[in-house]
Amino acid sequence: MRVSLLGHATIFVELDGCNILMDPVFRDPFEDGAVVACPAREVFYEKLPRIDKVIISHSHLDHFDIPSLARLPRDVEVLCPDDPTIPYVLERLGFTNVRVIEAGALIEFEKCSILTTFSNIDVIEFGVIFKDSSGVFWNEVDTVITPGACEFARIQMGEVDLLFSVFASQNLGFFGSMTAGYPLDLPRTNLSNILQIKPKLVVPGSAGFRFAGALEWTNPFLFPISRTRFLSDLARVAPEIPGVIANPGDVFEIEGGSVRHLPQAAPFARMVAEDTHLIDFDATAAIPPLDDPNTMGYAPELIAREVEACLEGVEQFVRSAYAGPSDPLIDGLRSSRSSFALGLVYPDGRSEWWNLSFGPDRPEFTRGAAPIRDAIVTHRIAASILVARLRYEKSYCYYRGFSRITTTRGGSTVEGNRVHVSKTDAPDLLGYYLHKRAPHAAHGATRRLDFQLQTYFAGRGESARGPL
Amino acid sequence: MLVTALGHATALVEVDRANILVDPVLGDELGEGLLVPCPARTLDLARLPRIDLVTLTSIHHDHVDFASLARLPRDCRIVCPRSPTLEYALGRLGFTRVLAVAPNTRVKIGRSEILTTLSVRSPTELGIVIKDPSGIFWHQGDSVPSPENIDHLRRTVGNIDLLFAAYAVQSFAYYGSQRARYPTQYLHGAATCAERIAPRLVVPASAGFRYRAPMDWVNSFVFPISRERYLDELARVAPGLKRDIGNPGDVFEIRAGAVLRKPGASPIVTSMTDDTHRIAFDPTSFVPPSADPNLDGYPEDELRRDVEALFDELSAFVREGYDGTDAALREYRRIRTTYGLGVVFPDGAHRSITIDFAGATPKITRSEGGPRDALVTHRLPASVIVARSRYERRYDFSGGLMRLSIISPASYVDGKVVIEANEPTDLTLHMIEVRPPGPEQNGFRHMDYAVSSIAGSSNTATGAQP
Repeated sequence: MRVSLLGHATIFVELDGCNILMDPVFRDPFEDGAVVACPAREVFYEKLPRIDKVIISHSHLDHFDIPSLARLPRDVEVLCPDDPTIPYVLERLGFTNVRVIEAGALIEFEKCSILTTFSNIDVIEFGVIFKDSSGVFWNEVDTVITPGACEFARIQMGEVDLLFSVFASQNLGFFGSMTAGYPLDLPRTNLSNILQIKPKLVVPGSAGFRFAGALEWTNPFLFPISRTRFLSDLARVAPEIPGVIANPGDVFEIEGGSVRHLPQAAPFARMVAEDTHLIDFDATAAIPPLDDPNTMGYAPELIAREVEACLEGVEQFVRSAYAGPSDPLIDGLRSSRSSFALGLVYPDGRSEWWNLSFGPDRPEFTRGAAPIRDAIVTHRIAASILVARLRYEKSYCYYRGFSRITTTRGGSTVEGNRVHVSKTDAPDLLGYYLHKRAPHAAHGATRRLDFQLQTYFAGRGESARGPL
Repeated sequence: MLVTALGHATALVEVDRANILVDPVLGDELGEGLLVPCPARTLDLARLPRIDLVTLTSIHHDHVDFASLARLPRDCRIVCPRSPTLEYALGRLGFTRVLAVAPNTRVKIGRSEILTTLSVRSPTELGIVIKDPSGIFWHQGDSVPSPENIDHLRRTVGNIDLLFAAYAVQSFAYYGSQRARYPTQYLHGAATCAERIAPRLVVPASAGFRYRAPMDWVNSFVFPISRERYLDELARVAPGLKRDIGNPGDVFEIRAGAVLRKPGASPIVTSMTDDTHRIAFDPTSFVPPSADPNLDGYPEDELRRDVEALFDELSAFVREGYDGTDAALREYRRIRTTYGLGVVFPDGAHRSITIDFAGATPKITRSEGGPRDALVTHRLPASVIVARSRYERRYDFSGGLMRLSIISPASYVDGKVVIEANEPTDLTLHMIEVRPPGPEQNGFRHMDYAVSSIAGSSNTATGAQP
C-alpha cells in the first residue's frame, strides 16, 4: 500500500488492485477563499494514476471542493456519508455513480477492503480504514473517536500500521468570543486514542491549512497544537510509539507490516515551502480593528439594501415573538432583560449601531453612531460579509472571521425568592435569525451549494443548471 | 457627617471636629502615571480643609499615591493596612503617626470612631467604617467582606447610612492569557454584598480611572462592570435598596438618619466631566502589536545593556537553582515546560531568551526576534522589565503592556493522558522579586525610589512642615 499526501486532508491511497482518492482539494485557496494549504503545496493533477474510487469524508468545504471534484472523471464511484448535500452537488456535476455509506460499514473489494469509522460529534462524517495484504492504514480525518469505536475498528480490521491522526484542536471559537485558551480536552482524547490504537507509526493528519488574506491575523490564535507540539506530547505520553510529520508530496509505503516514510516521493504533489511558522500559536499577537474588505466586491447600494432588509427581518421576528406565538430564544432574552448592540462596519470605514433592548413588555429598537451602554451582547460585523451570508454566497467559516461577538452574559433574574445567575453566554441573536428564521434559512445549505455550482459553471461558460 | 467624592477612591469625610481623607489621590494622574481619574475632575487643593487623619484601604499604587501623601501635613495620623513596605515608605515620607492595623481595629478621633473591616481577598486590604453622632459611612475600598463580617459589624456598630460600594473588577487577565470571561459571579457577589449591608444609600465607588494614551486602547477590555451595570444588577437583586451614582464633587450629607446627595456641591472640585463612555466594555475592539512606549524615556543603549544583563542573571538563576528549592523553578521543572521571554524595544526590535526545563540540565538559548518553541511565552516591553528590575516601577497596572501565551504540555500519569491548565508564575518577575537581599528589602528599594522621585516636589497644599 502506498499513501500519498497531496496537502491538507487530500490523500491518494494505492491499494492492491484499487486506487482511492480521498477528500480531493487540489487548489488554493479553498473553503470559500478563506484558507490555503499549509505547508504550501503544488498538485499536478494530470500525473495522478488511474482513480478507481473517490471517498468524501464529510461536506465541510475543506474536504468537499466543487472545482476540484469537477476535474474528476464523472463515472468514477464516489463513496460518501449520508449527508444529502453531497449527492446533491455530485449529481449536478454529472457524477453517475454515487454511493452513500453508513459509518461502521465494511466494504470488501477484490483484494482489499475499507471500513468507515464512527464519529461522536454532530457532523455527518466518517473516517476510513484501508486494508490490503500489505497492511492497515487508518485515516481519522476530523472524526471524534471513542474508545468503543477504537475497539470496533480493531476487531474488524486488526492492528493498525499507519495512523493519520486527528491532532489539531483548532480554536475556531476564538472568532466569536476572542478568548484564546489552550485546549485541554480534545488533545487529551486524541492522545488517549493513539494509546489505545497503538499504531506502528503516527502521522498528524488532516489539518494542513492556514487563513489567508484578510483573515491572516487570526493564525496565531487558531492553531494551538502544531504538528511538532502534537508529536512532542506523543513522545511524552507514549515514547514507544513513533511519530513523523508528513508534508504535501510525502509518501508512506506499507509492506509486510512495516511502514517507510518517503519524503517528497509523490510525482503528483510537492511541498513548495515549509511555512508552518506562519501558524505558530501566540496569544500575545495583535488583533486589528474589524474592517470590511468587501472581498465580494458588492456595490454600496446593494449592501445598504440587503443590510436594511436583514435588520427589518430581525425586528419583525422579535416583534412577532413578543406578540406571540413565542420563540424560546426571544423568551429567554426577554426574561433576563437582555440587550443587543449590533455594530455594522462598512467598506468605506463608516460604522453604525443597531441596538435592541428586550423590555418586559416590548422590545426597543434604536440606531445611532454608538452602541447602547452596557449591552449584554456586543456584536461587530463587516456589512458585506453579512450580505454574503444573507445571499448564501459565503460559508459560516468565512463569515465568522469578520464577525466578533462579546457577551457579558444574561445578568441575574429573580423568580420569587430565588435569584438566578446566568452562567452561559447570551445567545447570538443574529446568528440564530440567519440560521433559523431568515426567509430562506430552511434551504440555506442547498442555496449555498447552488451558488457555488453556479459560480463554477459560469466560470466555464455553462448554464447554471450544469450538464444535467 | 459630610462625605465628598474627590475622584476614584478618594473621599473627604468631615465628621464632628475632624477631617478624614480616604485614599488621597490629589493630582491629575495615578497608578504610576499610567492612569487618570475617570470621570475627569480638577481639584482646587487650596480649598481642601486641614486633614487630621488619612486612611489607606490598600497597598496598591492607585490607593497609595506618594505625590499626594507628600502634600499632606506630616503630623496627620495615618491608618493603613499592615505592610512592612508601606510602613517603611510612610516613614521615609516623614509621617510620624502611622498606625498600621489589622482588620476590626477601632481608632478614636474626637467624638468619632474609625473601624477597619476585613477583606477575604487580601490581608493588605481594608474597608473603612466611620461613625460619628450623625451616622455611619462605610467606604469599602476594594475590600470584599464576608457575610459574617457584615452581620457582626451591623450588630456591634449599627446600621449603615451610606455605603461607598466596591463594584468593579478589572479584567487585567485579558492580556495575560486572553482567557478572561465576563465576571458574572463577581458582579452578582458585589450586589449581594450591598444587599446584606443594607445601607440607606448605595453608591458605587472606587475604580474611577482609565488608561491614558498610548495605553488608552486597553480601556475597551478591562472594565467589564460599569457603575450603571452594577446598579442594574443591584436593582435586580435588591430592588428595595436606594442607590445612586456619585461623581467627583458630589457631597453626601448624613444627618438625622437620612442621606442627602448634593451633586457638584463641593468647592474643592472645580470641574467634572462624566467621560465614562471612554471605558465602555467592548472586547470586540482591537489589540495593537506589542510595543514599548518607554514612558520613562530610558536611553535605548541602557535598555539593551540592562536586558542583556537580566538575561545573564536569569540564566545563572536557573542554572544555579535548577536542583534547588525555589518554588517557581520547581514548578517549571515539574511540568517540564519551556519558558520564553520576549522583550520588545522602543525601536520595535525583539530580543528573546528561551529556557527548556525538560531535561536534567536547563537548555538556554538567546535570539533576536520573538521566542520560538516556548510553551510559556511572556512578551513585554524593555522599559517595563528594566523599570521592574531597577525597582523604579512596580507596574500594578501593567495590563496591556505585558502579555502571556501558554501551551500546556501533555504527560502520562497513572495510565492516563493528563493536560493541566497551568499558568506558572513569570520566571523573570519572580527572580526580580526574590533576588538578594530578598523580597522585603527589594520592596524597600522600590519605596526609596518612589519617595525620592517626588521629594523635590513636596509642595504641601495644607501647610505641612517639609
